[in-house]
Formats: sequence, C-alpha cells, structure tokens
Amino acid sequence: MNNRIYEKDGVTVLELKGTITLGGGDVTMRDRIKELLGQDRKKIVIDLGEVSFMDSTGLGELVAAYTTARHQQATLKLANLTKKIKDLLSITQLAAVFETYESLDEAIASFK
Amino acid sequence: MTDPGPGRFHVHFRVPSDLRYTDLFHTVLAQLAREVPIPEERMDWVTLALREAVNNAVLHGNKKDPSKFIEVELEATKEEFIMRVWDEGPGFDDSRLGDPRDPENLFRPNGRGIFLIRQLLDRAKFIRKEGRFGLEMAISLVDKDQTMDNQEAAHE
Repeated sequence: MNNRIYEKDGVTVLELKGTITLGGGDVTMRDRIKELLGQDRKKIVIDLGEVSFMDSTGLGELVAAYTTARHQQATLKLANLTKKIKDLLSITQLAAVFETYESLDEAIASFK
Repeated sequence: MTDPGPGRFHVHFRVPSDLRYTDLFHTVLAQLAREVPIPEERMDWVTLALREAVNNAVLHGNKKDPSKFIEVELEATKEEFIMRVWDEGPGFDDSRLGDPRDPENLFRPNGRGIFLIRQLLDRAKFIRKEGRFGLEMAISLVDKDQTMDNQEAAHE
C-alpha cells in the first residue's frame, strides 16, 4: 500500500492507495495514524479513493484509528469511499460510526 | 485436478500455516474465476471470503504452527462455486460468535471476518471431517431471474 500525507486548509489528509488487508497495508495505516496523532494533528481525513481492496482487518484498523483519534480529542473523517467500501461499512453498521464524504473537498470543508 | 466437465473443476491445495499464502490463493482464485465464470460484481466478495477463511485457519485454527497445514478446495459445479478451507485445529462453537453490529462490539477492531463471509456469500457453514475443521462457503451460479423466466415460459 502507498500513502501520502499532506495539509490542506488546516486539515491533515492521509491518502491511501492499494490494498488494506491483514499483512498488506494494515500496519502502515496504523503507523501513519499513530504518527499523525503523535504530532498532535486534530483534524484528519483519510482519502480512500484509491483503495482497491479492504478486508475485515482493514475495517478493524479504521475503527481503531477512529477510537484512538477520539481518545486524543482528534477528529477523523473518511472521504472518497469506493462502492465496495461503502457496502462493507453499511453491512457492518460502521457507516453510522464514521463521518463519510463523497469528496475530499467536502470532507475538508466540513471542519469549518 | 479432476475434470468434471467443461468449465467445472475441483482443485485441492495443501500448504503450511503461513499468511503469505493468502495472497497466493487470491491470485489463484482470480485466475479460476474466469473459467467458472464468477459474476464480476461478486468477485470482490468471494475473494474477501476466501482471504478471511484462510487467515482464520492460519491464525486461529492452526495458531500459526508451521508444522500444521491448511487445505483449500475450490470447486465449480453447474449450480455453485464452492470454497472449503480446512485447518488442523480443534474447531469452535460458531454459535458463540458475537454480532459485530451489537453496540458492545461495534468499536472492536476484530470479529468481523466470519460475519462478512455469512453476509456476502449465499451459504457458509462449519464442518468437521476426518479430524479436520473446515469452513464451506458457496455462491450460487444460477441466474435466479433466468430460472424464473424459464419456469414462466414452461407454464405458458
């Protein structure tokens, strides 16, 4: 899995590309989130637009990232979800947990 | 590999308990799916189910013991595409699996694998056979709309 971190309008964007599965991107995602929270970033958007495949471990990492952020008074939102990831969140009822946005710009604007 | 007819097959793999084989089965499945064929819109879910089952067999069934093996069967019949994943563990009572949608489980990072398999495929059941514990999963290959059309045509 590839990833890129950048700032836009005071919001930290974690852009993920590729797969998020057990042994394939899960640890990278966890490390990046830990790194961002360690730097005291409080507004984080994960851009999932280029994530081609996610398994239950990937979902679990998203949940862990959400709860870890919340415990540190940070807010984590999701943007650009693919149809498959939307379906996974819906089936597991995690859609009710996360704030999700159709585009990155909408997610960033939601912090204003 | 046996040859039960055109587009039908039954392949059987036996590999040591190692998570690196999950990607291998992902690749094998992608290749075999074209022969069945597995409907495009269901392919990600079939792949997800196989990955979850293999990971569970390695991690929970065989406890990552490299001296133990997992077995994977992929079978295409006229009606179904069937996947069976076996491990050498003692098995477990699946009725005790919690529902990850319950409020007390919703924020847990794990416990969604078997639930997703059951939700995404047409059938999934745990089986015991000859000292092995396995999970059998299947999707229907029968086009339900087509079947109904044929039945209606037969009645006309």
